[in-house]
Amino acid sequence: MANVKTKETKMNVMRKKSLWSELKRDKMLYLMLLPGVLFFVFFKFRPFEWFGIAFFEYNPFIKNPFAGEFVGMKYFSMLFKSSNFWMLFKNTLLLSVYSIVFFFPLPIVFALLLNEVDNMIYKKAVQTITYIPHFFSWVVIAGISFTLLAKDGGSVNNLLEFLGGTRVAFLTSASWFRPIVIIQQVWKDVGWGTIVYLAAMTSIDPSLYEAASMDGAGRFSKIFYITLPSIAPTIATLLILRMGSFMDTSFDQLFLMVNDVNRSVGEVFDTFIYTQGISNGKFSYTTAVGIFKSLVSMIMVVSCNWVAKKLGNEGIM
Amino acid sequence: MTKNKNIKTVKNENNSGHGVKKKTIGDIVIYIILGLITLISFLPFWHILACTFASASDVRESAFLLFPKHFTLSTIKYVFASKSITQALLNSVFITVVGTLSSLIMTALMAYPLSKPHLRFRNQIMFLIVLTMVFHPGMIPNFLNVKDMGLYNSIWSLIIPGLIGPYNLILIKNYYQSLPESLLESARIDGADDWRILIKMIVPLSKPIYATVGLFYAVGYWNSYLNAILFIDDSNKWPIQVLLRNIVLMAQTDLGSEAGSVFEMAIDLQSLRSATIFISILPILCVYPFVQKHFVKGIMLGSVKG
Repeated sequence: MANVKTKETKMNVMRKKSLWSELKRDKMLYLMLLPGVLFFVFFKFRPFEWFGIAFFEYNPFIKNPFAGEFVGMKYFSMLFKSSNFWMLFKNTLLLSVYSIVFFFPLPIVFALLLNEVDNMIYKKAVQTITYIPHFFSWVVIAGISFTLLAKDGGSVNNLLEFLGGTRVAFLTSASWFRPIVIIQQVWKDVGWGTIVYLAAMTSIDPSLYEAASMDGAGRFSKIFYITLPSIAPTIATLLILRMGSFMDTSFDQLFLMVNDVNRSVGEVFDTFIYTQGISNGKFSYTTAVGIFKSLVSMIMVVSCNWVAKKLGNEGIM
Repeated sequence: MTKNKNIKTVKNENNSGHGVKKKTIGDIVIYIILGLITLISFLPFWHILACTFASASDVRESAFLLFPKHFTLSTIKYVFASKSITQALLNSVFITVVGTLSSLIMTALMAYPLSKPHLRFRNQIMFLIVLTMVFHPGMIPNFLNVKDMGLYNSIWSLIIPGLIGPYNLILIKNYYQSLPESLLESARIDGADDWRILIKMIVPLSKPIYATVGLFYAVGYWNSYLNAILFIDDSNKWPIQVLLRNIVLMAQTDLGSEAGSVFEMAIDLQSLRSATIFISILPILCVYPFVQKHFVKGIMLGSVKG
């Protein structure tokens, strides 16, 4: 027993020595690391300190998040008992489900179509133009949507009327909220979403297609038996990760589209935190809402990542 | 995503295996579908352009304006004459230029030590960085932190809290790792220290990834409006996106537009809105063609796992 211990301490000493010499050898590298580490400490980790005000009453005049009166889980039970909770949960979930069902497959289809194009100039032109909306801000996308969809003077309504229909109040209707939000996402990111799939397609061995052609396979059989199986791992990884981030509705987008008329379907955790917290000053309550959201998000991402790895795909971690 | 290091860019790759052959009906259908998708991507933008340069009567009379009959610069002139809009543009330019440069330097610097597999504590640091990607403090703690750091109502609150994006950091780190190790090793044997290797060898070799990440940062800074809404109270410090948001939201609700007078105003607002949208996307359109050729390659190489 004693023998083992001395051996261990000996090894510890050795490790310590080598650790010190390693740190010394790499001191330049650690110096380079320092500004970045300071950034992460002050702006990515330090905010967590304010989780304290979910458990201690927030006081705007005291800088210490733990100085207020201890309230325990009061704000969490307030959230779970609130009638808003299920509305927020339902709206968040539905927007994510719609996005997965209606948005997610489109870049795959688009990439498959692009892959069939032999004319490189045409392909390049299509890619160049369809990537651009990804770089527009949500304010611009919302602005374009309002220009097109306004009830009076909006182009879509003008066309509807021209075709003999009646004008629709797209922007102030609860039933149109979700379709519009999904259409915006499609318009912004369907082109950009193809990049990953096109990248995966470039690593497919061309001889597979040649062999298939010789066996008399047509376009569709090649797509179904060669292209799709080859990009299936990419699809699976992206799908799982997308499901993992279901709590993260695009706040930048929704914040612009939600108004008093469509709030019943458009309010999600993020917009709720903004209106109740920043606008109404309920910092303690909305921090509790934020903690709940962050925790569920993290659990979802980590477990979906785990599933992705179990299935033999690459995760993000 | 892929482990193949000799990835060719998408543009010069033709792997559909059809070779040179006649166009079939299927090909034509695909070309038409892709053409339609491109048109849908393009038309709303063109409409905004047309509304910006068309006279008010054109905007009012046509159902979906694409080709204005009367070309006018008056809307653009009106926008540029507005002091608040020019101020906001200047603010946005400042935030974008200073922000992108500082972000790139900070990220490129931090990525270098992290690209060294032998570095002690590297894995722990990488773990913490990935942790910040999946576990967020949320809006209120971030807001209180910025306030607590004394950045509230300062234009720096729009730059400093977003200096390093974890995703961009990992992209650059992975790119460094894909550079040939033998090259760096020979420099080390010649007696170059890490600073020299980084500045003289890595930086010139990493231009494609810097262009890609630089574009992401620049677009991020230029497009961000939420931080300004949270952190900036003084309207003289607003970036263009916040102003655009206010102009956009002015006419958002159809609720009040029942009255005829409001209808008139909504039309004028339409030109104003289009012109502001146009101005706010113009810088992106100017930079995009130059960076575009880099980013597909950059993303693909950067996502090589290592």
